[in-house]
Amino acid sequence: MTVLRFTAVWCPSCLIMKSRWRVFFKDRPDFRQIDYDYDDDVDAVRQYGIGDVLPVMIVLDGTREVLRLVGEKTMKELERFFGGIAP
Amino acid sequence: MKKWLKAFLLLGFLLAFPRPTATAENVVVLHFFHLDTCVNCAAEEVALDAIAARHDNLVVMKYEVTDAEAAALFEAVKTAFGDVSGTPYTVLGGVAFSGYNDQTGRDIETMIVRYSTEAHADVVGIVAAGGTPTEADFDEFGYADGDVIDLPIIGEIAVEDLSLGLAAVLIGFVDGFNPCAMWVLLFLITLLADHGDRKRMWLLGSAFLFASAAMYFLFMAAWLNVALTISEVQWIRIVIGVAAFAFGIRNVVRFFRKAKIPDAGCDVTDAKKKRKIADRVRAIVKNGSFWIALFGIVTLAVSVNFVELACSAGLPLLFTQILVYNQLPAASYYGFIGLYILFFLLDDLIVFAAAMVTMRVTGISSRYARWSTLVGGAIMVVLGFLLVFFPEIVTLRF
Repeated sequence: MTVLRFTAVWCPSCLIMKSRWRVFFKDRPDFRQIDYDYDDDVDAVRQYGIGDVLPVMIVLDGTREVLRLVGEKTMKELERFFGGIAP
Repeated sequence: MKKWLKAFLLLGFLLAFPRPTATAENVVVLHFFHLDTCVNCAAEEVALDAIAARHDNLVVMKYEVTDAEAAALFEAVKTAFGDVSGTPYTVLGGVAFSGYNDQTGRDIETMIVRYSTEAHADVVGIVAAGGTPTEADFDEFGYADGDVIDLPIIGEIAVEDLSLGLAAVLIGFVDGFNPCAMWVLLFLITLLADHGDRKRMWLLGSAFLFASAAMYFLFMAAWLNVALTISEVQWIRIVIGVAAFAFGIRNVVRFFRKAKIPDAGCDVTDAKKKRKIADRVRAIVKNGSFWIALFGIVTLAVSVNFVELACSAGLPLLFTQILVYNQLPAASYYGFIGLYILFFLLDDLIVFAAAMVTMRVTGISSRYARWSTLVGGAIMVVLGFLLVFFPEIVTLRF
């Protein structure tokens, strides 16, 4: 499975989520992680229809989107949302 | 018989015990419960000696609470006051002071002055004599106009200025959560942290904060001087009040509108403008010359804080306006503005300090920014309303 993460340098919530993701995915090596910058990676932003709130995390199973998380999420919320996804 | 007990009995004759009446200058008895091993007790003992030297009518009774009788009296006195504190414990008339710092010393002296001319009961005396103090025997320590209290960090402040000081703290703090310019600091320290040069990080980060504070201070000082010259014009007061009320309502509405959206995060607004600022920060950090980087940081802080001012939607203006209606001495105006800015920058200072210590940058959650919109909006609604209809209350001197 692939995790796409959209952040921006001017977004404090993105900083918060980056450190949470670092911890969360430490024990989940099966997820391939790709980071996009909201301002630099305009094509990807358009392709995945990133809206007006950052950060955004999308989980893909092949090319199929299985999960999309928008904004700040706690570790518990991350655990809960990923609970139903087996890589 | 213990020394203190003898002195006690002697005092029984000297005082109209247990309820002395007011005379030109009453004898005031101070009961000091202490431990020889307690550092604060030692500090208070020194202070009490100095206080006693200034007040001839003061009698200081000392009780070392490792002594069984003194300990029993201490327990009985604390029970009477409904207190569970340890030493140092000081009782004057019907008032007990627990612990000691410079402010306690000042408060004790305030009570001595008051009791010198006011009738009062001696609760410790009543308890020691085996009696039970009535409700009327207890007193309350309160501040009066003209009293000065000593606050940590802020220093001495007149009691009548306290509510204004609290307003500076509260409004400044709420204003500081406004996220408009904070991301620049975060981005700056992220880039500096990547370079791993802690000294450069300290210097450039501090320069950014200092320049931000100076910029905000200059803006508020400039508005203060404008407001001072137009403070007598009634319609300007009403216009400012109506504008504050309208901005406040807008912020409250915005909060409730956003509350429906569960995803607290960063709103994608002015992304291009932000990108330009980010590029500027990158160029500054990359610059090999420290002095050019420092100059860049200072000019960046000034320009970014212009944005912040617009973002704050009037809280600093409103606070300055409140100061004007208080008709303070010039130094006090600037003192309160300084206090406002200190708390305005508090969240930035915390983030910066945390980044410096851990070398890892984190932001302040957007959830707090959301709540600051509501609190800031509510403050503006209330103050705007008061400005229009009750300008005499808006001085916030309670």
